[in-house]
Amino acid sequence: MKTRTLLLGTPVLLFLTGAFVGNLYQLDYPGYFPKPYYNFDHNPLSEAKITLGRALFYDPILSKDSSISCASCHSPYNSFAHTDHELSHGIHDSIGTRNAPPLFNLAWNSSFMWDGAIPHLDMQPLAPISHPGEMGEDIAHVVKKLQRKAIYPGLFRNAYGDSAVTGEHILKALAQFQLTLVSANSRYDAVKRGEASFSVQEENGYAIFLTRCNACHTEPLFTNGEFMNNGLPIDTFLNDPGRWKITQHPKDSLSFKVPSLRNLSYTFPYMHDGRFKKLRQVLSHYSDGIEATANLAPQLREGIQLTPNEKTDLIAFLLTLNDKAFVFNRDYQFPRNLLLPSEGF
Amino acid sequence: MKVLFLFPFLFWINLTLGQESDSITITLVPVFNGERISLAEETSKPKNDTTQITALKFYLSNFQFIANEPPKGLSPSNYHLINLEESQSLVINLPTTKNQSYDTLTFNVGIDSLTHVSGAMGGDLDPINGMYWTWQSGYINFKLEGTSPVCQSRENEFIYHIGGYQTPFQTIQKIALPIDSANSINVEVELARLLIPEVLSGTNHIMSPGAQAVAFAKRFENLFTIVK
Repeated sequence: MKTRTLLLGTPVLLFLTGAFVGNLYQLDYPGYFPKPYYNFDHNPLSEAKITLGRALFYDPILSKDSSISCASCHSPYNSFAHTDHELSHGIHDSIGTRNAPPLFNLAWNSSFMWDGAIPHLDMQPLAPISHPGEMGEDIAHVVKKLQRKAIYPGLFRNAYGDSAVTGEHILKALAQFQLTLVSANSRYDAVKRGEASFSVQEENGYAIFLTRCNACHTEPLFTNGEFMNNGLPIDTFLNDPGRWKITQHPKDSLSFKVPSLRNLSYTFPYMHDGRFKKLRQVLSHYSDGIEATANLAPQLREGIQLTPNEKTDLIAFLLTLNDKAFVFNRDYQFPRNLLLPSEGF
Repeated sequence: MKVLFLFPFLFWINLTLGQESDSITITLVPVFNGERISLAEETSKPKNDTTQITALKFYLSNFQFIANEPPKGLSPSNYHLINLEESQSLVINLPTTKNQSYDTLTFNVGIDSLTHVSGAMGGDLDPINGMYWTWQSGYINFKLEGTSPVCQSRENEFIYHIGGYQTPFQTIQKIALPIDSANSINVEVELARLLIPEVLSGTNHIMSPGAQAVAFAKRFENLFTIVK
């Protein structure tokens, strides 16, 4: 029974190998952003891990029939949303029940999905991978497929010092790539940094925004990360109860995560079920269309009063949140050096 | 650069050389009505006159041995996936301090909420083990599947996947068992305490967090007994 424990040896060895696996990557974000929520100590960013994550993100091998990659519904050219598609798509022409949200500034999110069903970015990809109407796969089978595909043992070795594919390393690498998707170069950001100024109309819109929208779509991330019932009448075909499904608490009935307002030009249609194609329809909902229920967001009790001119000014401001530099950043796009174009998305 | 990293390594050797440790082996013995079970035989159709177990998989975590002093923390990866299909998983070796006697063994059935929200993990906690819910995220703390003539379901089947870590539907259960100072402990896992007629004649499929899962998990309290 007597043993000399070598327990402490493992972390030390991991530390030794970790120190020589790739260059560390420093996440760049503006000083007026809050501290990231993601705990980078558990998953320190490195260039090799981000490269692996990027390959995984664009590789349809993650889906059962190799037809769908993450980028199929989260396209870089659409701020990682599925522009012009109300509901998410999957293998065998499946249609889901919710609008695929854009991906950016994920390090500042404390939960994921419209209903916050997932408490950590690392674990999020498991949901689309295993959902029969999305990728219809199983993470254990993905591990086996990646082990057999020529590029991956090398990419895993570069990233983790070990060519063996594990679920943990797949998930952490996918998280790493997604964490690098920081959107902070819109005109709004330039104004914030004193490098540009708003037009008179945008300035008016900003003033309206601050008094009537900012309580929930809080700058500079343009979301407070909370779940709210924003008074949308229920879609009686989808019958989506929102966050209630997770908490089973009446206060969460028909509540969905408050989405960020960055990159709106790329992410239409809007709302959890993509019911509005135009920003003007969204504003009309808040001015005239709110359905009052017991747990309606308190900020919306009276609706949001907006004259037609105010709506125009507000939209002018919202368009300053488009981040072209983010959408066209080559570092985020399909990794041509790793995957064949035919494997695209 | 390499020299620099050797320092903590040498320091660690220094620390561990002077310290000897014991270990205690815990062997889990799954039984049904006192009879040792193995997974249902490979028959084409399950026998309908008895309860059959087709899957038993659960997490035990945070093992601690307690004497008349605060419990000693064990290795950080103190999570064990028990799987009836893999007999080696039924034997757990735990390091202890040499010549120390204990009177209580405590552990959790399931995975704590902090671990749930700490991101991807490897080994027994890797989601490839089939013990992770993907759509409403979280570990399945306890999985028990089989058939019983009492079940009114299709093919008399029952599927209990018990998990949930968020208030008010937490299912993790802390177990405390009195032990004497032996280097080997046998813990009987009496599934008949879970598969009581009241349970089997009720809902036969529990596969998400909620009140039913919580009620099922409360019975873990009586599941474990120390046997000679």
